[in-house]
Amino acid sequence: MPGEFSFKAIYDEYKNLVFNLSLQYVQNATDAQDVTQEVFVKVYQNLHKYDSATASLKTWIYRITINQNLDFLKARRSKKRFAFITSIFGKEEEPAHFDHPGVAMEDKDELKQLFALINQLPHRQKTALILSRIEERSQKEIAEIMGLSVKAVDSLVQRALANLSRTEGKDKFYRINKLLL
Amino acid sequence: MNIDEKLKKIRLVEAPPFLFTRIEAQINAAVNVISPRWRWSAIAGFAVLVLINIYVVAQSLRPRQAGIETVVNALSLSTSNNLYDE
Repeated sequence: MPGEFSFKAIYDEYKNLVFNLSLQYVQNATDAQDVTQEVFVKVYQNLHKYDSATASLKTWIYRITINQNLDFLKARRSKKRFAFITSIFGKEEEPAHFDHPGVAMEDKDELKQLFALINQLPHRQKTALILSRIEERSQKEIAEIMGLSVKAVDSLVQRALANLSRTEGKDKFYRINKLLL
Repeated sequence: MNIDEKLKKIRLVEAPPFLFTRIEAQINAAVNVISPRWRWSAIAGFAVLVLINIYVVAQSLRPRQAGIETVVNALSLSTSNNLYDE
């Protein structure tokens, strides 16, 4: 592999960043591994196109990771739509499961529910929320990664949190009602 | 507990060690495949070659005037030995 040494160095430096970010999107280790693999193949194939004047290497890798995760989730949703057709012919698709290695067993149920709500957010709100509240990136960094202004990022995060609070409240209401009935 | 407090419970994990081997394998597999661009270029080149060949063959099958007849026609020369109209 040409330039193997530098690619390996890039992989070693950013593998955990890419893997953990992918986990926040797909919420299970198997899918996160697949996405991480795709990200680094893309990095390798496009390294010659990378221009350090436009963005830092970290920002560039963040962008590839986010886009690759969004593509993965889009493909998964398309598969699900066709799943009912394939199930008629006896071939059922396994639903995506929550198996986040960064979540302790005692917190699994709570975070599984929260991620179910996060997954319903529009993808820009979801990305801004993940980068801000889980990855703990500064608003300036997030703005650079997403190609937005700091104000726009702040607005996305606030809307994401407001949407989550609203749907979390509704969700609790329905669950409590279900228990009482 | 609010959303921020819940999200703070998520811990960072290490990427699995075997991932780099898988990435290398995928990259090497991709290198050995001829890219679609080269494939289509080869097909287009082959098609052009075939068309040129067909043209050349068609040209060679067309009946051609003998060389001397070309000269005679060009110089408006007479082809008979009758020098006078009789």
